[in-house]
Amino acid sequence: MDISVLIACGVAIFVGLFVGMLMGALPGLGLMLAISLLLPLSYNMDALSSILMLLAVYQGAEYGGSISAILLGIPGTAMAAATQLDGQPYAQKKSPGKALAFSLTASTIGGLFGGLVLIFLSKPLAAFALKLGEPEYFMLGVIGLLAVAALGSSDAMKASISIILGLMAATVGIDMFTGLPRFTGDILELSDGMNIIALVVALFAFTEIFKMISGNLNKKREILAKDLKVKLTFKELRGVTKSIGIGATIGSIVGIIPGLGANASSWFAYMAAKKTAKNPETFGKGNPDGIVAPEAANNATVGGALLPLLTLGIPGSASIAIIAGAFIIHGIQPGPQVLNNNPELINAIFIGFMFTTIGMYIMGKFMTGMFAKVLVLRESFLVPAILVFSLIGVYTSQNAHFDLWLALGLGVVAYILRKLDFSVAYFILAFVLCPIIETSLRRMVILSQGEIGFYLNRPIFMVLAIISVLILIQSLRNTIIANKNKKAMKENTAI
Amino acid sequence: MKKNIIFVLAALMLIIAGCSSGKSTDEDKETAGSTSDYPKKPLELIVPFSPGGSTDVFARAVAKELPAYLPNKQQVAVINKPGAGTTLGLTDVANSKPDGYTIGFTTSSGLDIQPAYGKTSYKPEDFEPIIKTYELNSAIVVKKDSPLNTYEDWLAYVKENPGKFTYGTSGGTGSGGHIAMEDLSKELGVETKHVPFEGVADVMNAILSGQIEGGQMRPDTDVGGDLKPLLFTTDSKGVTDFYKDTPNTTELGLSARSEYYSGFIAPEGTPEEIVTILHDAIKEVMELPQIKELMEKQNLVVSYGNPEEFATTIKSAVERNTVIMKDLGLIK
Repeated sequence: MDISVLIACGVAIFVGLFVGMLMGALPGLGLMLAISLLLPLSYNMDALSSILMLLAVYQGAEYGGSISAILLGIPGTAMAAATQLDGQPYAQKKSPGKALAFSLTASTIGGLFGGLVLIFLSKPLAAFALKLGEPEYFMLGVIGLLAVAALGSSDAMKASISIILGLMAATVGIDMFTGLPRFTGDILELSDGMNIIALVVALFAFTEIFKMISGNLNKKREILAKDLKVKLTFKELRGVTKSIGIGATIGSIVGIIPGLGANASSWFAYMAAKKTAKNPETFGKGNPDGIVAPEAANNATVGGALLPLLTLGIPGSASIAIIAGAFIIHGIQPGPQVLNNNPELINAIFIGFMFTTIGMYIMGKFMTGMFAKVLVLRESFLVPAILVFSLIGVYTSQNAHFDLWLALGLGVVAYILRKLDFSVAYFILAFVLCPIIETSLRRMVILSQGEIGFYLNRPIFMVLAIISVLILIQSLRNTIIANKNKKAMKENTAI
Repeated sequence: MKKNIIFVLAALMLIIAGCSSGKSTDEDKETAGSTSDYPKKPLELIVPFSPGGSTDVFARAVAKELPAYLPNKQQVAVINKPGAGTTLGLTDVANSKPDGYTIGFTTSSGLDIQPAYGKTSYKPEDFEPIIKTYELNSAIVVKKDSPLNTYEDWLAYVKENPGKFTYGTSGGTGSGGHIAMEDLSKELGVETKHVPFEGVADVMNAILSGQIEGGQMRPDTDVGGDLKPLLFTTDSKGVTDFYKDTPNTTELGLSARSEYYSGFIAPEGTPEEIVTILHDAIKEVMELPQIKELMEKQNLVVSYGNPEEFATTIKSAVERNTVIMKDLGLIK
């Protein structure tokens, strides 16, 4: 590896961390917007630095969210909501700088832990995954979608509709099995399908802009601006090691399971830290354990969530789905073959991943004060900046004018869907998973030559099929129970 | 707040509209007029692929050397216009002004397969071929340790097991590989089964993991890979004579045959003198040692053709493909 590659990667990580922390810190903007803004850049970068950049965004946003949670009392990202419970009181009672230091240190350790989990589990898992054929991939893709719909959503119906729309959007273009166009409306530009960059920007950047415009653009916020020195003594760190450990472990495991994600992992970690604490009553009143557990967890999730992507090709969350998009842009289909075909790329990603975590610590230590100042920035400044940046990004990705219109049109539709509580995250997940599911299904049908024995002789396929049925039954049960409760409640209120 | 949204939407549309107009205004004033002092300004070379692929790498290498061999030493800017199986970029070439300042570099399918489907706004005749540069080889390949070692083995196998031999292509149904293989199967009276893939890496993995039995693609045992050829469907067998003992369809007297060529093209109506200037310059660049080395490294078999020869190549490929595609029911 020569020095120019190192410099390119370093710059990519820095840019990623910077944008991630910035967007993570700004309430309401968050991870998805940060990733959407940087994805277009990856078109003109090499595969390694663009993927590292996106991973750095991910890490940076996970920490950035806690800056506003602690200083403003508004979690910058959904993942930081658990951090706020103890972070804000601690900052008010003791020191905001210390609260941030707890968050940063825990995020760093969590991130490194997640990275190690990724590195050590990916080889064996990928070796196993190489034995999988088309039928197994089909089943994995289905499970990925089912898990998301069953585990992650409160409104199963709207989640399903979002997923179906995502699946349909992914079929736009020339169908390679028949050579015929689908849903292209004879528009030549659509024959390769929708440009994923236009789609992501529309779904996450444009809808965010429309949302901000429909709110108050000139709202002012106030922060706790005293004592922002991000510093921690060794003794203070030792006091919270147990909670960091709990957070990091839970975060990595939750990350691996598709559909749960960082949001769930920080709450799980918070609960677990509270349960195992000697003084659970101090939680919510500024206990540092309550800061470190969710923070360690949400950063550990990043590494964990990459595992199914790199080894099975299955993205477990919307943000990972977009990172998968960066692989695809560079002609690399994430999956077990990547570890075989591009081992140097994967190893470099692993190493770079560790550096993103370390970089996050350094930047967090010296630049948190600056990010804190950004928190008071008005949205009337942010909207034009984000808009211009995303338009440039969409256009430069393929030099195609059509993509701008596509992004604008999709953005308007997505905004309406978001207003109606449909999930754009499920949409993008389905969009990325659809090609795996569809092509595997159709190849599987060709290869089986119509014989049922082809499927029965594949034990892994059968196990996966049973798992997917179980997930279905479980979510059906949940729905029935929820309906019963609703009914009971209605009857109660009627009385 | 609704007003705000409408305002921003309007602003967005203005921005987008602003980007689109103004493209062709100042260029219109400078007409091609006299060709004696061509080129007076930098050239644009449209490459219908994303940056980084082997086609793009070659085009960029040529574009870098070309100024030294052009009159007035004008620069050549490469513009990547990927999408829709090269047809987006070729549409741009076809619609550009035939003044020699916009040319394209393309592979064959955008010229001799895609237009036959009738979805493109251009026809193969809408271009002035400048120069044919190289060809690619393609064969029926199987895994290195497959019991099938020769074309005869394979033929006996597919005759005995109709429909059992599954082959992958990297372009899907209606792509060059699929058309060539179906044509061959038809001529031989055998039945093979096509499994479409997206990209060479995926086909390769499917063959190596044993999911499919073979493929119609470039073999790679010559560079230490695991895919061995049984029968070349292209006349070319690669940059070295590593595969000289493996037959191709022409040698066996079969009429089924595929051709993957690349070359530079200009929009129809480009003056002949300009085409000649470009042809001569590119031909000289092709002789440069660094370009030759690049081609050998990328397995691009030198296959020179002057404008007339290139036009004949395209014309006969279009005719051949149209007949086969009709036969296969891909087009009416």
